[in-house]
Formats: sequence, C-alpha cells, structure tokens
Amino acid sequence: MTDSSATLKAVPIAFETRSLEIKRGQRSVIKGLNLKISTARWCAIVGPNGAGKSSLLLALAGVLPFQGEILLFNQPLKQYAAQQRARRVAWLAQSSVQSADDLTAYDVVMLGRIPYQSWLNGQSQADHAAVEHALKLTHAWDWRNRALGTLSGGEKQRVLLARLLAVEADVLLMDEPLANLDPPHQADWIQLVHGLVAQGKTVVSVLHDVTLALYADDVIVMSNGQVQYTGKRDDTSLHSNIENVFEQRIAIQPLGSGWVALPKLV
Amino acid sequence: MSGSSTKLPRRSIRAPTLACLLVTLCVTALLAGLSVGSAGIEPFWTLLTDPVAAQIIFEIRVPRTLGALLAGGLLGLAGALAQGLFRNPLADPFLLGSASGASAGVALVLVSFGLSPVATQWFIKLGLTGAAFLGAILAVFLTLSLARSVQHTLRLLLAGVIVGVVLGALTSLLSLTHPNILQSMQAFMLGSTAFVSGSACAIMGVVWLVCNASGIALSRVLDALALGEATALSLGLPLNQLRVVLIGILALATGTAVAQTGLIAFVGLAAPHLVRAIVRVRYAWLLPLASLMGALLLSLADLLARGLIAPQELSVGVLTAILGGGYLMWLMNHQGPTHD
Amino acid sequence: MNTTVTFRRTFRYYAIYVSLILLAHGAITTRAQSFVTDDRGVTHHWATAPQRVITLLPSLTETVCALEQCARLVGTDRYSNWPALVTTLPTLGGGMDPNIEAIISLKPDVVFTAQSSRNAERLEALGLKVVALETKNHADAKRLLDKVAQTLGVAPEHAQQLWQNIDQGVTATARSLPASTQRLRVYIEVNQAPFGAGPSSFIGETLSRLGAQNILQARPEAFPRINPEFVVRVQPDLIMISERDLADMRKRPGWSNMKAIKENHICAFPTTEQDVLVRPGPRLAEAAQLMADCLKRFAS
Repeated sequence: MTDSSATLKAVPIAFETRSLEIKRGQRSVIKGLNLKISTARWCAIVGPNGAGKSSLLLALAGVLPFQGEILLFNQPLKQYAAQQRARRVAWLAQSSVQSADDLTAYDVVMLGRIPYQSWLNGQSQADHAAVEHALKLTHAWDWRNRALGTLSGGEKQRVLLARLLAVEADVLLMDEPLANLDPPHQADWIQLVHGLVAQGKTVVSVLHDVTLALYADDVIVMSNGQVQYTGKRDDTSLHSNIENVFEQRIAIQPLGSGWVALPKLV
Repeated sequence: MSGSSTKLPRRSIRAPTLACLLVTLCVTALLAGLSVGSAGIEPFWTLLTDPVAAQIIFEIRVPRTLGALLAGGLLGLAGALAQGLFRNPLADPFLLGSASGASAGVALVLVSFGLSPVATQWFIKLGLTGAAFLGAILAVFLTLSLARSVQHTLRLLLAGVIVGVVLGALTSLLSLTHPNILQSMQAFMLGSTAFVSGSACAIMGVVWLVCNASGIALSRVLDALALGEATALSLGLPLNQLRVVLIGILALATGTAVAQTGLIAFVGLAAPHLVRAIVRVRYAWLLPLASLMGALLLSLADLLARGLIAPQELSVGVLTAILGGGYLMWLMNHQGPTHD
Repeated sequence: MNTTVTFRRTFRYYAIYVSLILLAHGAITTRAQSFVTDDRGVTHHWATAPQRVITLLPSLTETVCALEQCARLVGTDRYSNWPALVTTLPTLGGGMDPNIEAIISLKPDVVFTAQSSRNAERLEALGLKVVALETKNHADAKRLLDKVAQTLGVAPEHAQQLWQNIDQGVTATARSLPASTQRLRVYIEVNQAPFGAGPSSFIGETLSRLGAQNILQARPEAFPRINPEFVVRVQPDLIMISERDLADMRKRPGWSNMKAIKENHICAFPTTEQDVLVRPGPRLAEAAQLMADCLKRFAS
C-alpha cells in the first residue's frame, strides 16, 4: 500500500474500535470499547490512573494483542503487515522505559527509520534527511552527536520525540509526551502538533495534564476501561464529564481563548 | 554503512580508530604469541632455522595463539549479544545454560566411552569438542523450550538459570559416580588453549565470520531494544523471530569457543564493557569491537599464562579475570564523577 | 636411733615407693592409650586404641590394611578399592564431599583423611577425632605408616619393618635395571591438562631412585601444569601415561611427530595399574616395579 497522505486524508476516520477488549493477564483493562478518532485532528485522552489509556494506545500501535476490532483507515489493523503498519502508525513510550544511554541523539532518531530500512541496505539519503528534519523540529539538532546518557531529562525527551517524528507516519500516538518538558518546550510541542495536524497527520496523545489536553481538537475521557465521553474542547458537557471522572477535584475555567483546569481545594 | 557524504553529521571518529587500534594490537599479540613458549620469550624468527623449533612454531604456537584470538573474539561477540538481548550489563555468553550444557556433554561422552564398542566408535568420531559443542547448543535449545517463548526476557533468563543448574548437577553426578573422568573434566572446565589445532582455528574462523556478519546485520534490533520492547515492536520489528535468530548466533559462537578452549569466564562479560568505557557506539560497531577486544583480552591472558613461569603454565581463566577486572577497575576509577 | 635419720630414711623409702607406683601406672596407661599429632599439628588422645576406623583416602585405606588392621575398618571413601575386601565396606562419599551423616552414624573412633581435603575441621566440630595426613614424597609415605601405626596402637617396629620392605623393594628393583636405563629421559603425565609428575613428587622420586631422568626440572610444585610445547621441544625418550588418556595424546597438535610417539615408546597403564602408581601408600614398591618393567622394555 503506497497511499499518499492526501488520499488518506480522504478517509475521515483514522481509528475505529468496535467492542475492543484488552486483557493484561487475567484482568480486562478495557472492555467493550467503541470509539472513533478522526483523521487530521489532534485528539487528547484524559482520565485517572488505571483507566486503560496506555493500554489503548499500545493496542492502536499494534503492540498489544486484543479482542474485538480495530480499524486503521478502514482496514482491520491485523491485516496490515508489521512493516506497513509501522510506517503508518508511530508510537512513543512513556519516557521512563528506555536505557539507550550509549547511543547518540542522532542514532536514536535514526532508529525511527527502521520501518523503511531493509537488512542489507544501510541508511539512505531519505533516512538522513528525515532524521535531520525531525531533530530540527524539536530543536535538538545542536546536540545530535551527544550520547543520550549525557542529556538532561527535557533534552532526552525532545530526542525521543524526534525519533517519533522521523518515522514520518500518518498517525502519531504519544503516551505522556510532555514529561520532563518545561513550559516553553511544552508550548513548542503544542505548536509542533498544530503544524503536523495542518499537514494532515493525526495525533493522539495521552496527557495527564488536563489544561494541556484542552488545547487539543478532540478530547476522549476514559475511566475504568470505558470511554465516558468524547467531545470537542469547547464542549461544556465534556468539561463537566472530566470534572466528574476526577471526582470533582478539578475545576475547568475559561482563560482567554482556551481553558484551564485548576485543582479544587476543599 | 555510513557514507562519506558531507551532509552526514560529524560522527565520532573514535569507533573506527578503536577498531584499527585493536586490530593492530591483535596482530602484535599474534606475533608475540609465536615468540612465547616453554623457554620463555624468544623472538620467533631466530627459531626458524632449527627444524624442531620451526615445527613447534607452526604446529603448536600458531594454532594456539590464533585459537586464543578467535575464541576470545567469539566470546566477546557473544557477550555483547547477550548484554544487548537481555539489556543487562551483567549478562555473559553462558547465560542460557551453554556452559553447563557443554560440561554435561563432555561428561556424558567420557562416561560412555568404553560402555559398548559401538558407542565408543561413535564417541571417538564425535570427540570431546563435538560433544561440548552439541551440549552447549542443546542446552540453549532446552532453555528456549522451557521458556516456551522468547517474549519475556525474565522468563528466558530464569529458564537459563534452571537449565544451567540442572545440567550442572547432572555433570557433578556423572563425575562423582565415575571418578575416573574427574581429571579430564577438570582439564576441560579450567579452560585452556593448550591443544587447539589448525582445523579448530579454521572452524572458529568461519564461525567468527558468520556470527559477526549476521550479528551486525541484525544489530539495529539490539539498538531498538534499548528503547524498550514496545517501541521495537511498534517499529514493525518481528521481535520474537529475530530474538530466536540472535540467540541462535549467541549459542553458535559460545558453543564453538567452549568446544575448543573449555570454559573461560569473564571474557564475554568484560569485553563489551571495556569497549563501552572507551567509545559510545551503537551495536553495529559494538559487536565487532567487543569481538576484537575479547580476542585481545584472551590472547594477552594466554601469553601471560604461557610465559610467566615457563615451562609451567598458569590457568588462563584466572588471568582473564585479573586482566579484564583490573583494567575495568582502573577505568572506573579514572572516569569517576565525570561519568554521567 | 636418731628420729631425724629414721624420718629421712622412711621418707626416702616412701618417695621411691610412690615413684615406682606412678611409673608403673604410667607405663601401663601409656601402653593402653594412643595419641598422635597429625600434619595439622592437632593432637588426639584415645584411652584405648581406636577400634572403629574410617579412612577417606585410598592410600590411607591401603596403609591401614598393610598394617593388618583391615578388620578395624568400618567405612571408606568411594575411591578406595584395594585390597578387594575393602569394597564390601560402606562407602562414605569422597574426600572432598564426605557423607557426614553416614560417617557419624558409624560411630568411628578415628577418621583418617587427607589434609588437602579440608574436611577435618568440619568433622571435628561434630565431635569426631580426625587425623589429617599428607603425602607428597617417599619421606611422607614413611611418616604415614608411622602415624597410622601410632594411632592404631600398632607396635612402631611393625611400621618400620613394613617401610623397610618397601624401601628395599624399590632399591632391589632399581638394581635389577640395566645401566642403560640411566640414559632414558622420561615424561610422566598424570592429567590431561597436561600435568606432569615433577621430581619432588613421590612418582618423580621413584623414577629418580630407579635411575632414569625426568624431563621436568626440580621445582617446589610436585605436579606442575606444563606447556605441551615443552614436551615436544625436549623430545623425551619415553612417555608414561594412563591408558585412558592415550588416545587423545596422539591427536595433540605437533605431538604426532614426536620421536616417542612415532616409535611408540609409550607405556599406557590400565586403570588398576594407574591406581597403584598414583597412590603414595604401601604399594610404592609395586609402583616401582611397574615403572621398572616399563623402563626395561625401552632401555636400549
């Protein structure tokens, strides 16, 4: 399949799940989940701990086995060859799980090109171009030759984001992408996502920070392995739903052109 | 691999430099090995006039020194593979029970020798080296079957420990109930390059080339694994199949080395660390560099084992531990707080 | 009579009388009790000579039997196999891994073990009396006989006579060899690694008493691990090895061209004979005979 992004933009739904069930051992972390994620939009997933957000993302990335159906651009996810799917969907882990201290930033980002590399060929011009582009987008180009172990938390995170971008996938799944980033870099990231969406890419991010999640186009609220509500960011029902799911410990207030979620002190 | 286009970032040139340095040192070790023997150190070219001495050099010292280089190279490579596969800096090539498997194979052959004429014939053909190799490979296979899948690294490691312990117990049982094999077992377990032949070097050389080539080809799997299994899977890598192949390469390299030189500890563990203390590279470089470092480590230890109290020999395994461990300690002290 | 003089005389008589009693008592008890100081410097006493004996080393087993105290053995290690009646005794593990429970349940009066096994302290901690001995050379073998005899209450003359027989046997064997034996340069291999028998070992000592030369130089280590290249270089006239290790020896790189191998100047000893050769015990004379027979075959 070599559809261009333009053709894919014609498919309005990037991901659709039907009766999705995900088991971790004996326990069902997600049961009977139906949702639709629209193409060329930024969707944020919020919810308390243990809601199943990370598991959902892993299943969408094709990493976790599942029961039920997941459709990627109207085709069952299971029908995609692994390499095909890897070029379509890129996934970013929560930053705690990695130990690549010896690799340089450049090498780490180059790993994102694995879906395009065959065993015998080395790194092509296209690979190098993608890596450079990705590093420059995350403002990490200057320390591309430094080993990951020598970078600060925020710098490391930007390198990992660049790794994600280097895949040049149509869908980007990110699990807590803003960990370790200070506010200026969080702002950079939000602008980056807006740019990607403008290009027609679909971004899905799990965010624990509700304020930042309310910068997204759509928000999915999850708890106990179920979708509680899906809505656009300005939807007040969405806001009250979010407040409920967090047991009224937060209050969502308008601020300028957007929204802010403040912890409520009782 | 990396081209020479000016668009490429200025990659650290230390990796190729280290490679050249290690190759040079290995060649030096080879030449030195020809000069070290039962009469201490004598430049080998002076001996070429005497036919007996020349024969010693070509038939004994050349295969022996070359054998130390190749076996060390195989063990270094296997160690780097093990540490990458299990993402554990304490991993060594004997992790999946290959050492115990080789010992058990040797013990079985020694015990069965003389049980029946057919068995004896068969075992003469197989030889102790064949038995050690088969034992190592079968032990790894047993570990894989016990773990039932390569999906869970922890499960694989545990299975390796179990297989190692059980086969070790089998070896002990065989040794104790047939005390006449104890001496030969000891000779094998101590590890030495004493009887490495030319054909053994040829075998090790071929295996070394195969394992290095296939390891380097698959090295990006090991790099991706450093980012976590989920990330590696999300990049479309058929992780389970590739892990089986990598374990196969690991078993082949370890089994070949152990079959020829016995159980020499520490080379596989120390070589990757020694390389990483000097350069920071991805696995496409780390594998061949660790291999070269292992070759150098073992051949240096072998030189000392042969030369220090000639014509007596020391145990090469003890010397690899002293050399490798000592150098690591020195490196640790010198890196100190500047290390991240 | 002067009372002082009487007193002194009586006192003297008393003193002599008491001393005589004490001496007699001492003599009797010295004869009935045994004591020995083993090679660790530990001394043990027995009120009566030990009757239940355990040995954890073949040469110690053979020594006990050579002193005709085989009947006192209640158990041996698994490697002891001479004389034949010893094989009917319970086996108690090896020197390195003795079966402690079995040893204790046999209630031995004394346990003979090798000092190198390092199991003496463990056994003594459980209340057993352990005599740990070491034999590296002929002098040690003689001392072994003396100490075992002393422990078991056997008359020291018996042990001395036994040693004399052994010693004379070796000397006689040596004398029976032709003078050409002295030109033979011999390599004795005891282990495949390879470990050779040096001049300071009991095997090396026997060889030198038989008049032949050892290719290994004198050094403190009895059985050094040598570089196989050394043997090829030195080109021994004769190789002594166990039958079991022989097949592999020919396959060693560079060895097939060695004069001794090409001309088959090799003595390969079957297991029963190898046992005799490697045990520094009362069969030393037999070992010397085995080696002499070998030397005779190849003394030009």
